[in-house]
Amino acid sequence: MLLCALIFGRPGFGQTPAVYAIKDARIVTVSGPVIPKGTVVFRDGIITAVGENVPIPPEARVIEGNGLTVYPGLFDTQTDLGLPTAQPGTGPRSGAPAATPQAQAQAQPPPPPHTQPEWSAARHLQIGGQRFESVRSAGITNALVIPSRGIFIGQSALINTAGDSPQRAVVKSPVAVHIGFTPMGGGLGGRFPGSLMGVFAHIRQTLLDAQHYGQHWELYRQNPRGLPRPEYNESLEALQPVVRGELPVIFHVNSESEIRRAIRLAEEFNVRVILSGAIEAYKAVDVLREKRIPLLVSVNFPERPRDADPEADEPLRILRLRAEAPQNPARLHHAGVKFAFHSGGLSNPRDYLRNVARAIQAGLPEEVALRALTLHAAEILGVAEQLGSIEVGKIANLIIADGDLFAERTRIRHLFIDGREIELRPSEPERPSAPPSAAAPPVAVTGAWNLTVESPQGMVPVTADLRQEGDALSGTVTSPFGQSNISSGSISGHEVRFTLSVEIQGTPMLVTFAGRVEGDRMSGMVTVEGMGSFPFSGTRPRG
Amino acid sequence: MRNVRACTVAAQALGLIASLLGFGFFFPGSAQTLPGGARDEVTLIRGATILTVTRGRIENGAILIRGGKIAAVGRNLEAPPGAKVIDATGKYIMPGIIDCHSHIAIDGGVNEGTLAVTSMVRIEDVLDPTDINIYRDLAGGVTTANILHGSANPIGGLNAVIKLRWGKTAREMLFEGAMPGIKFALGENPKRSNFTPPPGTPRRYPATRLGVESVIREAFTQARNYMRQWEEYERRRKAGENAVPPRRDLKLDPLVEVLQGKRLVHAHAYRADEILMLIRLAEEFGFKVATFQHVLEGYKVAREIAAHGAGASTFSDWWAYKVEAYDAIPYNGALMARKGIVVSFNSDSAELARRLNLEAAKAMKYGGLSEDEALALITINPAKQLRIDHRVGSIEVGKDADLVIYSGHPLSVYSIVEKVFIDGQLYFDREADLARRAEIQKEKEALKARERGGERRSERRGRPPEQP
Repeated sequence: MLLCALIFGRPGFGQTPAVYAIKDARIVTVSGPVIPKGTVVFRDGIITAVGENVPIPPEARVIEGNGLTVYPGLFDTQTDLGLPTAQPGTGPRSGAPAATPQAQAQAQPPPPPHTQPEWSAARHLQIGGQRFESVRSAGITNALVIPSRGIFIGQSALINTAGDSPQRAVVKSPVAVHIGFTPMGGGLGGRFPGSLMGVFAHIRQTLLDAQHYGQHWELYRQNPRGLPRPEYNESLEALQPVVRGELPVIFHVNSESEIRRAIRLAEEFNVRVILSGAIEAYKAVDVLREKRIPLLVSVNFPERPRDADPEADEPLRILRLRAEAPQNPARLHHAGVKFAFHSGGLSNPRDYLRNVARAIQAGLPEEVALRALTLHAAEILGVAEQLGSIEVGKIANLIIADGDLFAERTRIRHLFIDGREIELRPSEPERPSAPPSAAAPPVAVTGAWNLTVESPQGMVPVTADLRQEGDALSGTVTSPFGQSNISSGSISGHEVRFTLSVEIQGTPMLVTFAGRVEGDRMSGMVTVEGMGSFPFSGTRPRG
Repeated sequence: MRNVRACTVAAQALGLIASLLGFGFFFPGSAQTLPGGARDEVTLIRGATILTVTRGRIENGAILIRGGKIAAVGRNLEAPPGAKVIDATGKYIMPGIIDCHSHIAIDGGVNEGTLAVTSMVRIEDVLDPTDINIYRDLAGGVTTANILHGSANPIGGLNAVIKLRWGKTAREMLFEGAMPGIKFALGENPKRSNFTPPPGTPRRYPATRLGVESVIREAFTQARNYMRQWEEYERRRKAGENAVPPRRDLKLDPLVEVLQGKRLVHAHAYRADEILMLIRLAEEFGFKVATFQHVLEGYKVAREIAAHGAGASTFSDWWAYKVEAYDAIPYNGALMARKGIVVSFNSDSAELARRLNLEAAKAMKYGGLSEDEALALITINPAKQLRIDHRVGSIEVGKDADLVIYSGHPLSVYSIVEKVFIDGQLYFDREADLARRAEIQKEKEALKARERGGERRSERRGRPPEQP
């Protein structure tokens, strides 16, 4: 444990007092009434007292909460935070169509997961980095992590966002087997299933196979005499708890039709079902209410594409959906459907609460919005005994804000995960404060870096040959678009920033990498002028 | 599962085109906003010329609808108390049109073109009730459609027979109790002679008509063995032996149903030789082909098709779009009908489906069918082919009140569809549609203006809107 802290903890973690008291704060417990002025005490990561007149242990480190509000840490119930950028589904097991090794080495986006219910997010976590910091800064202390695309995508894990180690991050695994409806094959290759109906056939056959597999083993265990020995199959093995109804399935769906189809499929196999995405769930409240199906609702509301043809005559159905989508949570609430929120792939974590605020504007009561971010999420994901509210005995995942959580100007002042205070980054670029890592030793950035940019068109490999001189950065960057010299670059603490001009289809475009370096790892966002921002990450191979 | 890989570009192109068509511009109207009615509602339509198709024509007739069914048809019908009365004086009423070959309302690809046998896929799983083509075809008088998998594979997916109940869910559109079917395809499409696979992609088997036959034969041989495995298992289980049930195979289950006569085969075919091939193969395995689709050379082997007992669902005069579609004649439908084949005219196209009445009319010009025989091509005959003629396809007491009111004779180019009823409920009303257009335009403009306003606000805040 000590070793763990030494390796993964921030400097001084081992010495931080394990007892905290936040006093004289407004406490929004979620599970009970709001305490206008009270104290929360937690010890060794567990909440030990909550109330108006709670004695503060003498050894506690006291946080003056006057004027501040304490909330339970927020959940994002579906994100790919902490997952390798090369998504599962690569490698020979997935049976990709025969391709030359060279072709595979090209940075084609890996195919989405086909049939790997045994894939466990918990075993592939890459914890830490800038993205974790910005997620925490948005108040998110817990995240259900799983890739968004594929068919039998794998098993999700509920992690905390403290960002120190996979061992400490995992709260629950597996939470569910996730199933998506992504046809394989794309334009080339011709791998089954290439159509949506093929995806349905594949899911159905696989679940039938899982049932048959379980039945065969069961018969064999009872009496192997005279029976053929069943073959071991990792994927069908992983589906046993699903077909027995012990482990839920989370279907990734958005439209009304997708929602209704997924529910029918779940009923056909009598599996426990949760739906994620569910942008059009308000159109299917009849069946959602009747079957009492919990939802993980995306707040990444559809928007008019920024480069849309202003003259385009868009169908009324699409226009209506964009206008109605923020009302989805409110309508679900009024219909009595239980849901939690997720960010739905929003690139900026700050937009998570902003979009929840839009749902509130559209009629969702604030306390329901808060539940959807905390206790309902914990209940749906099966961790309500340890998370989701401020109650004695629960994990001290807390955020302390200087105002109402959903107000635009509110800032989170303190954040605790497992009862440990997590240092917050400066909240917004336009509100700079003292650099948090000013005291940190300057990082050594010089060297050849292999980076991958997650563009909407797929993974783009980039190599960056960087030279550091004081706080200035120079060098060359090579991408499929050619090689360019860095025109300006800087280093500040762990933060690096470099800009270059890249010619894309004959047009020179300004590309800026802004990221954080931790040892030989770098990750952050790359902004392509006029195209948007995309995450990138990579390593510096030690030669 | 057979390890067959093939080029899917053509299949995907078909799917893409279908989905592009599906998301065209909006066309107003929705059953939810039309004056519908409860299932026990009583309606009397009177004053019209009624073309019953099976019982001749009734001038100045009336139809009484009760609980979605035709309760009475005749000349002197009184409106019961509380009945809604629709005056159709001077108009024509015919049964709702049945399109025996359609690819509308399919989400995510019309073909599963990756394998040569895809009997495991089901159109029913991916019906898109929001496809605007449902409404457009409804506005052309179509009330029932046989939604088929594409023709990329010798054995394709399972069909879905739907009523075009615009505004309802996919499940609610399914034609209750319609006999299930499956798509087969022969000739150029499944052997891929019209498509070039991208470089480096292995060519999918089969590549010849011989191969198409062999794929079908092999699949049914597998199905027969599979059926025997289950019989053997049942025998052992009943004998109290320790036995493991065979693995359920979704590819073979539907083929077993074909062998048992529980599932209809709708076989896309053009050339006479391959029509004969499938008839012989089917008779060898002991099943019947329910319909040959397209069947442009059907007139050459009409006797054989009639003897087998298959129906023929063809075009009036659509041909020469590929080599196997050259030897076609406009008399095909009439000639096959004269040989005793149940013949229908289908659309195979969301657009053609809107004017199938005129396709039927052509059979009077080419082949000399009577008015009723021509109308039968798009009503009672496709109903027979789909085994739903006890429910729809003609105006008879007891049948579903699926009715079309035309402004004039439906076989005239000057007539337009005014009202369409399914199960006695009004699903298309031209007047209401026209009246709503301005309103819909206004709503669209308001929504667009709101979005533009929202964008400006977010720009002021310096935050670009996210793309989903």
